[in-house]
Amino acid sequence: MLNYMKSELYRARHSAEIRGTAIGLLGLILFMNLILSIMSGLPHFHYGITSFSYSMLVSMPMLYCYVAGDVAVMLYESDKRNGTLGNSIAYGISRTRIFFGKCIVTFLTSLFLLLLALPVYILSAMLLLEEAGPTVVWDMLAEVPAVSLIATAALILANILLELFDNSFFSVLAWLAILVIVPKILLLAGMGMSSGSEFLLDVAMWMPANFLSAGMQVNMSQCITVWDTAEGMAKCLLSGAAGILAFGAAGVLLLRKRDL
Amino acid sequence: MNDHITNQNTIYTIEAKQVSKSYGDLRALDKVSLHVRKGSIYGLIGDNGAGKSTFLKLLAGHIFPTSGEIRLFGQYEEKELLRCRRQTGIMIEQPGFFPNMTVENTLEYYRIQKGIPGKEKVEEILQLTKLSEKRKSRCKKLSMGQKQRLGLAIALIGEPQLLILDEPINGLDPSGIIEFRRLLLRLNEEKQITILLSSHILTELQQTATHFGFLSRGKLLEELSAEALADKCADCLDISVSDPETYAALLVRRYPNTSFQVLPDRTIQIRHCLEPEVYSSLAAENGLTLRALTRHQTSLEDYYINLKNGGNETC
Repeated sequence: MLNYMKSELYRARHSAEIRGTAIGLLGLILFMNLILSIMSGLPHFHYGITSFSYSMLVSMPMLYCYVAGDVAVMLYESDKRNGTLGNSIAYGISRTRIFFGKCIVTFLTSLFLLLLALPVYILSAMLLLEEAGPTVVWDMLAEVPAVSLIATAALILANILLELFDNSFFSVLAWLAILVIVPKILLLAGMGMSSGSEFLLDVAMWMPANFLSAGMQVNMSQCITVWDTAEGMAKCLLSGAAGILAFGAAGVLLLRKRDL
Repeated sequence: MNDHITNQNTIYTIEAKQVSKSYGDLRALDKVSLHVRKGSIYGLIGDNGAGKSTFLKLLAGHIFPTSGEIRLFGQYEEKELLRCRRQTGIMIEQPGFFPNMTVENTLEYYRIQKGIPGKEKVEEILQLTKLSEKRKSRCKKLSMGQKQRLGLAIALIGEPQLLILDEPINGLDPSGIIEFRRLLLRLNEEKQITILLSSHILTELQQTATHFGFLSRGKLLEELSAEALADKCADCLDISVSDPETYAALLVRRYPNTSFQVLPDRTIQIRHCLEPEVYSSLAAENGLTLRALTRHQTSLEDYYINLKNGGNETC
């Protein structure tokens, strides 16, 4: 598995798509902070502060999942179509090892992008914007460990679905359905039912797409995040760990004996 | 790796025992038993949809058999098969590569994946497959023939003892086909690499393979060596005479060892024939009118078609 991972990391290093994403991500961050900085000169424009810039990421922790899923798509969406997965299997690397290798490589590539983007985000905000408002650097830094396991679970799911479906469009749809749409439906069902709905609501509120939005209030006047409290942080970590275990096991079961 | 020695002391690199593969109701392979000897070049012949690619995919581990057993280098357990596949280079249907990567980076990627030490291996394979000039080209920019050569390069980089190639000469121009054939023969002779290749271009296989297997509708019709095939496709003479029954009786009397048969159109077909003049004289001496006399050798195509249509030994 080590050789497979090494080769995949070599590929990620030479991948134009990953390079493009890194450049695009950095460009987007710099552009946002630059625009906020320029606009801050306008009268009645109150958003040219670090808090607003930070809150863009702090208020949307699911962004980490989307980026991790996107990295999986960039690396592996054409793995079957290109015949490269077939080559690795033909070389005697087991499907389980390939699956875990892919997940680790996606994780490392996503981590690399994060380590590249986060300092640029913070430094550009500090240099270009006035330091004010309720959301501070700490909120952003604490968000990373809080969502890291959830994002890892999301990328594992992405890798399963990319291999299950021949068309990556359906993989993305299924990924969104499992990660976002189904939790929202469960939440609505839990809230809408009059009796016996507490259990459904409890289950729904353990799903990241719900507790990372409903349990937070991040705006220009306050910054209440889930990971502010030990209980909230534990919920993030437990939910992510459960996702990793569930999707990891599902990946092994579904892909172990699957025909290409 | 231990070679598998079966009875009669034959060493098989690939052995399939009663292998079947079904997709729902469709039976793509039906109890195929196939044997590839160590050091041979085995040509797997069949029409599109005969089951060639399915069989090769089973060998590659892309799909799993519904029933039956596959042995590579004598091993059949799943874990052992995975280990054996590391000594196998495979190209099925189309070469697998990353379109946006350069040829050199693609080979480096597979060198790392296969754990081959030393970057010079990439250089060696580039030269062997005559892709040195294209090393900096993106794979998607290669011509069809160059892509095929890249596929072979990827298969070769793991220093395989067994090469499995599905339609490897697809897209190659005539000189490319000749070069490819020479390369395969060189690999077989110099490195003793066992080669299993499928193709529907039978004349090409006839020039390369030492053994043949004929697949049709998921069933292996026959497997035989090139020598046995040559014997079966030996010279034939088709004779059309005014009275075939009399001529047949004369043949039996004059040349008792002659192997012949009367075809449904009353043509007499003689296998392993003597010079044609012998047979024309026989007709003339006995007052029979010789209408036509055609000498021919059965091609691999004819042999396959005949076999597919249920024939056996006629040429």
